[in-house]
Amino acid sequence: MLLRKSVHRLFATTLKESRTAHACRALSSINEDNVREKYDVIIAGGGMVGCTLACAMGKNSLLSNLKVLLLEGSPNQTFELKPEYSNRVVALNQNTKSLMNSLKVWRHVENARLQPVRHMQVWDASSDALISFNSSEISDDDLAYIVENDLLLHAVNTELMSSDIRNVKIVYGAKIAEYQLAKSTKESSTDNLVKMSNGDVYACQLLIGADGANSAVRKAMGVQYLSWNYDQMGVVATLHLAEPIENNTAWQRWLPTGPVALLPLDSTRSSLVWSTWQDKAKELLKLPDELFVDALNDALWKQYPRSSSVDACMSWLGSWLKKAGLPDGEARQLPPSIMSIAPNSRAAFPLGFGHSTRYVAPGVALVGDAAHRVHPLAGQGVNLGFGDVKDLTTFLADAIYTGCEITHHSWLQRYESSRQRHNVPTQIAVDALHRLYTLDLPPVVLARSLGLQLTNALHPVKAAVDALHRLYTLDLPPVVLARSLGLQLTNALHPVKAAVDALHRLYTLDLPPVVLARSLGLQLTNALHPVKAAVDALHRLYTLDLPPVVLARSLGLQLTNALHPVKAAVDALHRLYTLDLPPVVLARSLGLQLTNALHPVKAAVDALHRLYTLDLPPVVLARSLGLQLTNALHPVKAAVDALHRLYTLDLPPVVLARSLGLQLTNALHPVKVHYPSSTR
Amino acid sequence: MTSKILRTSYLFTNTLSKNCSNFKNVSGTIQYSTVHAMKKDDHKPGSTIDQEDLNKFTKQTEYWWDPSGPAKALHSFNMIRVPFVRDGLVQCALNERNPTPLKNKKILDIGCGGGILSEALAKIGATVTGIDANKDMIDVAQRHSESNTKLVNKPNYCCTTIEDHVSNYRNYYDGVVASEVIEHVNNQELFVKSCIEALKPGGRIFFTTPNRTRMTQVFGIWVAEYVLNIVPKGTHQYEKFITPNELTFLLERNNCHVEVVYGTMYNVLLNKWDFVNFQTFMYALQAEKLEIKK
Ligand SMILES: Cc1cc2nc3c(=O)[nH]c(=O)nc-3n(C[C@H](O)[C@H](O)[C@H](O)COP(=O)(O)OP(=O)(O)OC[C@H]3O[C@@H](n4cnc5c(N)ncnc54)[C@H](O)[C@@H]3O)c2cc1C
Repeated sequence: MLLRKSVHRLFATTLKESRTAHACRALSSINEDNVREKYDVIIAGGGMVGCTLACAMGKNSLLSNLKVLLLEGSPNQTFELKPEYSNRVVALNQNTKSLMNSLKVWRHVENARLQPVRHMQVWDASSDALISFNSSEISDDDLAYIVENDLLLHAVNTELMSSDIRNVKIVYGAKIAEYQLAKSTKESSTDNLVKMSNGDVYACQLLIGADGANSAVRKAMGVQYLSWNYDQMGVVATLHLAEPIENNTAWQRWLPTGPVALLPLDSTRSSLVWSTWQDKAKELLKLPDELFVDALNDALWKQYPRSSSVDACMSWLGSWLKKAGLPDGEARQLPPSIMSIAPNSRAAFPLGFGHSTRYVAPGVALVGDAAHRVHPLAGQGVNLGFGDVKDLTTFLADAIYTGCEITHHSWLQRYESSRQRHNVPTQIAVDALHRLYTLDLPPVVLARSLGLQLTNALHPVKAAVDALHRLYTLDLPPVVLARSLGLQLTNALHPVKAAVDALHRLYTLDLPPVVLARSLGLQLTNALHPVKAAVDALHRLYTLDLPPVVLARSLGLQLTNALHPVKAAVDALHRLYTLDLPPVVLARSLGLQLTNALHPVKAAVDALHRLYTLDLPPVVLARSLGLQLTNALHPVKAAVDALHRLYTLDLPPVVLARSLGLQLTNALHPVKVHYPSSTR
Repeated sequence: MTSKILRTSYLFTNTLSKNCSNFKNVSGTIQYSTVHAMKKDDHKPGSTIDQEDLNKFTKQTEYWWDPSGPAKALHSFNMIRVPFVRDGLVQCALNERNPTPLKNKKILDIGCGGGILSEALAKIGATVTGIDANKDMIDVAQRHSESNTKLVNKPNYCCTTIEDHVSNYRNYYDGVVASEVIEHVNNQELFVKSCIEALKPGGRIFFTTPNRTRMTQVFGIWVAEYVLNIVPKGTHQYEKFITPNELTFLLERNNCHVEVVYGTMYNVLLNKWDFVNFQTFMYALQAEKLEIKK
């Protein structure tokens, strides 16, 4: 058997070599003579997710025959448990715990230190709304576990180094210069090449990008990356409490600037994650320790200016709930007071949203933050990454058990769709929550407060929802929160939610007609749900490589335009704004009306674009109140925009157009008549 | 070097086919030389290599072995029929699985064609014998298996019919697979009987085949063969399709116990197969050969 395997390897190797040689010659940037070693799998990035993946591959009986190389950029740090906690901690959910248990990693964490979270209280600074979770309501298990990043990494590495794992090699301080990715041929594919800055080249069948939010592997894949910055930073610190308490509650208060969260560490210490605007975060970092503590206590306790109408509504709801014998949120627990912070424990990290539209390419897969990045408000980030690890190892093992290559597209695609089904809705829900709570407009505050309060009151419902959710995804409480919220009010308030729901539904149903609809693209989707269509169009545009889409693409521009409205619109916009021919400038100045006439699809895209890039209060309001309003406002805005453009541009053709007179414009478009007369 | 290998295999396959051709269609049972469009030629064994013949083999190999070519449905079919056969023969706890679960299992692949299923089963450890009455197909299978350097455990191919093969291999195999074959044979009763004779008591037999329903008549034959042209015209004859009940009856009369019947479904757009809970179109059936004769 052994002999057979080595013979097999020898053959496979020579075959691969000849192919690689060919590919290299063409590009000549990486020379095959330098290929030092060949691996089945190379994992780029040894963060929490990358190391866990290596560990999982070492322990899976089907994958432990694979030769794995783990490349980590930073040097090998020796870990020692210090009396003071690290300022970087993560909340781990039950899924992560069971993964770590199956890898025998959890015992190392338990032997060191971790803090179970048994209660959670979330409340809104702009009203009295509150929601609380207890372990017993959801299940007997703890809600989450707070573990230091470096301790978890150390625990994983301890297993990785143990004698159980023989197929993983780790290179620390690895400087990766360049990737040359596999090209798939008919029956098999070439190798991926990883070039190090010292000239060494490693070859592998499967390259895994676990290299974080700035993933170089993702860049080499050339996939679309949908991302935005929150202009926020997460300020972290280790806090000392004023007095020892039974510290097993996670606290989160929603300030108008973002959530501030206290995660329990032990009876006298908690860890802080305070998300706030960038400039405020930088100020907070500069404050002396005592003033920082004051600012923090303020953030936890301060009464924020309230809208009296919101308060009136909330107290009416409270009395109504009391009459009905339901919890009215009066019986709240109070968060601990902070006495001081551990010296030098303050730091800030930029927060952003990122979604790689493809998680896989021929012979390549992304895991962890390389594929998706979320706001830490729900403590989801690394848990999603560990979910990736679990699914990827399951699918790779299944491929081998079925006699296929680990790079077989069928399994890589299954990995991608199974993870995107889970990750994308979670990410969008977290994003929606963030948007919902950073708004301070009374109607929004009222709606979310009523929703939160009602959700809290309706314990049976909440429990049922929780049970259902657990049943299907076994997720972290903050997401349970997001979802419960979602049921009550996000629905009413946030169009994104509708999209999330639709997306989720769309991607979890496997009924033939749905699969067909999914594959046939937008036509049907459009008919089913307009909001979903927009989000879906974006998503689809960048993620799907299904034969029908590819077919459509090759059938030519006509069909592509029909299927890919976003692209068409972007093209139209581009053309519109790069041409400087007088008639175009005129058209431009005439504004969206004309453009609309020229290309109906543009309107939709434009609305979306406008919706998410403008920060004028009415637009923000409209955004939160949903697309209905935006739609209603849209023609008005368009007209205003056109006028604005017309009067601020000083290009000769524009001036010409202007001087050709409003008469012409008026004659061309009755809608515009209204504005010049009203501004005069 | 290469030409020498080609020549040897050419001679080998020709000798084989010569031997086998004596048996061919003796009982008139098997006619599954269907799907490919190539015409059968009579090869004269000789010392020179016919360039045209070589080209033909290359073409045929491409035809059968390109996973996105004309036979792509057979390739993607492996995604469900390999697990079907594997799990029917071995049940292995999640943490004890290894890459060759079918090690030490002798499997007979009846109507192996170009060897798409035979190689896949060999890859997970099985000792596979692939038989097909069509010599050209056996040549293609043989050639591909020899040139596949990633395949260490090679199947044995033989151009013969099941009735002839079983005379030397009675009660021999752990598993017998007849994937998309029974709908092409003339004497289904004899075919089933012969398949079971080749099987050890306690062994498993696996069938995949279209059901005989109006749906398969309309979509499987009229639409697929005449409208979409994804299957060559004349591949299937409606009257030869067999229903799960009829097949079960044949099997039970031959001392077998039918263990599972799954519906299967092919999604043309995605080139993807699935097990489904209706058997209107196609189905996969697994039966065990009982120890004691009734
Ligand atoms: C303030 C804050 C609080 C958070 N709180 C939580 C929480 O409570 N719960 C939770 O689940 N998540 C939380 N997260 C998110 C979590 O930290 C991340 O999701 C997680 O660290 C991602 O792990 P990763 O291994 O995918 O990526 P990373 O941790 O970014 O690891 C990437 C690794 O790749 C290496 N690397 C990168 N490029 C190269 C290269 N070119 N060559 C070699 N090596 C390279 C890096 O050195 C690094 O070790 C939080 C994040 C922040 C910022």
